[in-house]
Amino acid sequence: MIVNKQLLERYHTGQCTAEERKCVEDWLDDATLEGDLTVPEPLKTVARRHIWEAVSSAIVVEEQPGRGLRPVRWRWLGYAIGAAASVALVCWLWPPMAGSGEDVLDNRANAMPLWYKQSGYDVLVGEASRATIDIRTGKLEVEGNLVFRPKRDIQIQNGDGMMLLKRGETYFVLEGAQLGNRFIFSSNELTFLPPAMQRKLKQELTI
Amino acid sequence: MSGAVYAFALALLIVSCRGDSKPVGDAQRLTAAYSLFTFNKSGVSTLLVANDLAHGQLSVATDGFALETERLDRSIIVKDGYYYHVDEAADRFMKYALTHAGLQPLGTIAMVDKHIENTYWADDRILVLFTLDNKTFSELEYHIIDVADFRTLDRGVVDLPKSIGDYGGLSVGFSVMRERSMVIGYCYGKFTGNTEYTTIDTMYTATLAYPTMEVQAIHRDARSAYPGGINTVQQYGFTDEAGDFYFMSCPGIALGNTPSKPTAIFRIPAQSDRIAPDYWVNISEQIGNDAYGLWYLGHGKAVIRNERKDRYTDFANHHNTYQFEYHVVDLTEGTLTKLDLPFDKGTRKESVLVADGTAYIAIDDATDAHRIWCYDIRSGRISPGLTIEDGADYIVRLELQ
Repeated sequence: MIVNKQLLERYHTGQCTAEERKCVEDWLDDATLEGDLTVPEPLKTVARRHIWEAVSSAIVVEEQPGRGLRPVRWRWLGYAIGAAASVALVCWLWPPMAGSGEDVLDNRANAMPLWYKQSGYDVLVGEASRATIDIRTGKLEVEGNLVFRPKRDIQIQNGDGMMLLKRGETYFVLEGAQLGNRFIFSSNELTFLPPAMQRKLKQELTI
Repeated sequence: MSGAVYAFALALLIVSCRGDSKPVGDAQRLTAAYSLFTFNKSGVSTLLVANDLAHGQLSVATDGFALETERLDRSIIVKDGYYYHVDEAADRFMKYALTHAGLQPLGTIAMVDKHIENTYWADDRILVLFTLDNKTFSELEYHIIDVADFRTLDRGVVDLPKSIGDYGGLSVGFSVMRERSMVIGYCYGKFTGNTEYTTIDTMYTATLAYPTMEVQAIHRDARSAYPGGINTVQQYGFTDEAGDFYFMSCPGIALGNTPSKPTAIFRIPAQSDRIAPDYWVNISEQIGNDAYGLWYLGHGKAVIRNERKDRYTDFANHHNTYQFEYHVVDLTEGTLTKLDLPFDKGTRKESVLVADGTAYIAIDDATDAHRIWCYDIRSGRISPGLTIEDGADYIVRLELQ
């Protein structure tokens, strides 16, 4: 049996027979590969471009400066880039404007997590989740779960005080059992959660 | 996934396989008596090695080997100078050697959409892994691995019931060898809300024929819940000089979250595959708190790491509150003695190492010191030892390299 792309795809989607599965796993286990396996640079470039095209066609992004906009498809990228550039320009020229206004990011109708690219942060809103964010006032409310990545240091309301979320770090924000209660963990702190909760988050937020 | 993505993923895979097979000579390997794993304030994790835990200092900045945190978390296995870990991003079980350039991969074994729940060294060369699938968390598999050749000798499904009532996902908290069988301890859990998890109020053990892993018997013990825990993160059991196996149940908030049951130590006698019904040390009853982590000191004594519920609020601050204490347990008398140490932080840590009559205890204390404390088991004397400087936040592992 030859291990080819079709077989590997069937393997990864769980459609293999037991014999095929064994064949693939033996192949993966085989540490005796021989020959020059270097990928030529031109092939790498082509492959990179194909990957990006394939990935980008599947991405739903949004630049959402205010309430009420629906997610836009990638084919509107031109508009999105234009909007992003405009927002960035305004933010740069007039810093007090940066992040003003409340963003309501509603993914409650979706069974998949969804990335929203905002001017001050990126956020992955989990399936059946909804976020209300105003980085000017430090408001960060969640129904369900989300991943929050600040593009600059952001102060967020936390209990009676404020909590600094650092630029470039990844945070997990989880809705608690009591109304309005939520938990924030950095990616490094996730390991301290009960294992079952870590697994559930990894599964739901596909990380 | 499109064909192009797949083709390139494959190309990357082939390139990485080629890299993996690069031999690391003994001269390049960095070996020492002890290995430490730290989470640092910068967000970077580091591995450090030491030959003396009783004196001196190490810097995470200059002595530490930075780790690729996204691929390599703290749930590692360290034995005879080699490091093992499941790289979930690459769907592979990896073997590494530590060199002056950091961890170098030596071999890989396919491990697709699984994570390790428990490990057991059948001997110095044969490692038994128990894994769960990452979708349902109820498909338990065993993997018998020859770590010298780094290949799978056997693998298959352990045919346990997938659920009990509405409790679904499994947790496998210990595994121990008997003459022709293995005994595993496990339980079932469920979510009752977004962040509310609990475990069934019973401990289960299964006797598995070795090496076929056919289920021979299942037993229950309702004195506690959540037997043991993932032992690549922290130890919850040991075998004593007589071959008796002891484990601690962990129904506290950081693991099972079954408040109706106490944390307790149980025994499976050497000649038995069942939890002794007439033996237990009820920890919660004595100290009013739950514990996680159990290490053997020798001669019928062990040390546990317990939380202090008067100091933390909920699981949001469980890890960064200075609250953890260490108690010595007399396994015969069933009594507990608190060790005079600073409060520690960090939920579940492999923070105790027993070697040469000393228990080395790694503590991250409220003064932001990250220090190994040396507890002389015979005299009971405690003295400060090695410190980890320059930005350590948590010492999450301390073990023999």
